[in-house]
Amino acid sequence: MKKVTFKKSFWQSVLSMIALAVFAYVAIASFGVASQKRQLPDGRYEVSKQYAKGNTETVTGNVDFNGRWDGPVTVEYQDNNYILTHTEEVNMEDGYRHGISKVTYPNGKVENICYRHGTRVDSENCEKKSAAIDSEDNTGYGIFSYKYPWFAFKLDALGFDDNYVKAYIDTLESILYSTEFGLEEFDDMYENVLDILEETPYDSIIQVNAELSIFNGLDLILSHEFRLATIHSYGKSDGNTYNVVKLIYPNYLLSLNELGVTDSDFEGFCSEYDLIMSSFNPVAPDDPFFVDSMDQRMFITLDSIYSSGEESAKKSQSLKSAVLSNKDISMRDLEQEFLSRISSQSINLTPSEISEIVLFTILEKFIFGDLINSAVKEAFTIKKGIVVLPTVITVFSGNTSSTSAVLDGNVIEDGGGEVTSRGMAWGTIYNPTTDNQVLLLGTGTGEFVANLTELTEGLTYYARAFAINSAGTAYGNVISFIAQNTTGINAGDLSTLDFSIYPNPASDKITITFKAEDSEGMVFTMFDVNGKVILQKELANRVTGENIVNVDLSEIKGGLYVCQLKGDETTIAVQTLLINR
Amino acid sequence: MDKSFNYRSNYFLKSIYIYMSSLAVLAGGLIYILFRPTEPLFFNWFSVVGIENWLYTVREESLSVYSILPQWIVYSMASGLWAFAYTLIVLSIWTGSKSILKYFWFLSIPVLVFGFEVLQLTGDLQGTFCLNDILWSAIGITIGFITVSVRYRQNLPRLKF
Repeated sequence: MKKVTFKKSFWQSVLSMIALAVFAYVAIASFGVASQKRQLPDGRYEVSKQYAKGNTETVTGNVDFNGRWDGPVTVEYQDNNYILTHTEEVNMEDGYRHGISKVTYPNGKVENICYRHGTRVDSENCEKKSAAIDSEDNTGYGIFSYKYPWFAFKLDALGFDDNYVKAYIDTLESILYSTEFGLEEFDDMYENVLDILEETPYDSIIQVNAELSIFNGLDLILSHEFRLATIHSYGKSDGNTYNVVKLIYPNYLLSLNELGVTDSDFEGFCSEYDLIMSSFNPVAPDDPFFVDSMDQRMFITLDSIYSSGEESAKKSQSLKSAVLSNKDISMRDLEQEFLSRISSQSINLTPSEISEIVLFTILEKFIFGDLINSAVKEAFTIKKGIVVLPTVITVFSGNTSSTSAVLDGNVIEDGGGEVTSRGMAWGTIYNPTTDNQVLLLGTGTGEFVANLTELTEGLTYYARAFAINSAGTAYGNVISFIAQNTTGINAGDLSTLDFSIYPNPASDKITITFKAEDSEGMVFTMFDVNGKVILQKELANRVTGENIVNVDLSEIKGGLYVCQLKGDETTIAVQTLLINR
Repeated sequence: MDKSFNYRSNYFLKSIYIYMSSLAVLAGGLIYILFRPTEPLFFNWFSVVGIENWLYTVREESLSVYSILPQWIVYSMASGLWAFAYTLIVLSIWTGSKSILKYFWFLSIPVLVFGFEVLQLTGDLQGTFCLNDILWSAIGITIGFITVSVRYRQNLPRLKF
């Protein structure tokens, strides 16, 4: 009897241990990672992240149409006892700190820091005019603490105070500089030093910094042109991503051309992209999580197209396996491998190959997410006397009339070399370059003013300040604005005129429809991207209600145009048109 | 009552408990998969078997329900379901046993269930300590005990063999 009881107990214990293992594994695997996002009753969003040791970060504020923080934002940190420790109140614009940031420490100390589109500027009152800044301490920690105080604040909230961070960066630099090497070897040497420091107590800050760098990289991706084009395509347009890229983000297409992607190849890729995107259930643009859906679908679709290629399916699987098994993935190694591979690719790229290129342009943003690396690298270039690109910012001052506007540029840092030229690049496309319209405005560091005139009323313009030194051309943040007078006529509002054009893209003719309130005269004008009038047609004495007019385009060459409809009462509406030849 | 009938009756009863336990685990898992905005680590499993795309599509629909569901359903009920499931399994294995080991396993129920919450409180385990989780876990354990003890009390004579 005892033998039977023992045998029975043994098997009962085995079963119990199996049950215990299963439940323990399920319980541990149920823990969430990364962040949670929810919408508050007042329409603002709250994003919570939980870090190691139970520290949480909660960011609360409004977001713009592209899902980037916009307006007053509060960032709060709690320790694992749910006690509020650090708080930051700051204004954000396009996802970047812009204006005074008020940070409050656990000991009650309050610090005000001024930012201009994510760049710290040296101005107590955070006024527009500010001198070029220069960190007095050119060590890695000196640059880090000066340029990225918000990140130092975050590390402090997560248990790594300034003294600790300084000690870490100083140690890192002392090991780094124990060997002579050039800038091209910096990344490899930096990784080697991290491997050494991972065996020391500094491994904790290395791990946390790696995690935070990913979040920083994700923030940078929010402004990626393909992502913005996708959101625009499905939120404001008709789901034709190629047309949106062609109309608003043609400089992104130019950058793809430099990577071997032709316009026609990209158009074919976008057709496949839109086909898959349209297979998802529609999401209304005013859905609170529209942007989040778009982000998820974009990556799923890009991965789907990428994996459809035979070779890329294998690469994708091996990459996923490496991620799942928590192996370190070096973005720089991926970048090197990718660049060496595309240089040997033939023309007529497949959608899978183009998808890989698009994914690469998105994911390489992660490289810039490691701010400690950026600061140490900058200190290295200063120490070695290497000239790097200048740092520039762009600020919109305001519309001076319905056809003119004023913007300010500021060359914050010269990058170690003389700034031989500076100015404002602008146009009707996102991220304009010096190949678009340019105003040259002097040389050197400091602030300068750009007066843009002869703008087309009602049109959306984009502008970036730029500065050139021996390292190349650096651009500031892109600003978008509508050419309109300051009395507030909303030139972009189509609702009063119901102005539409079809077909778009067009070839030989278009039909425009609009509503007129009474028999007012209307003027239809077409402008090229430089604002030159290409065609103007008076639509005299139209009838009240819906009007239909045909416009012949046979004399107009192919390209991108802006169509403006203007009534006698200064009501205007604008549409962009693509003519294919 | 003959022993073969007792044996079949017990076997049927324990099968029922296993099914109930499995359903509870599945229900808790579905709450995490469908309604939690955060992606649990076991999403990796879905990546391995290649159904992550389908999962994301389903979550797009289900996550819209997240905002109207009470917080205790989304964040605490799963803990209760899993506590109930584990309690049911352990009790169905050990109830009626004469071995002293059964007390160890009975004790493992509150230790495992509440221990996770304590470790989250101390920060040694990732997650958020929540009193609601404790409450729902206690409810799950209690219901598990009641379920087994009521059935066993009704059938007690049949278990004596």
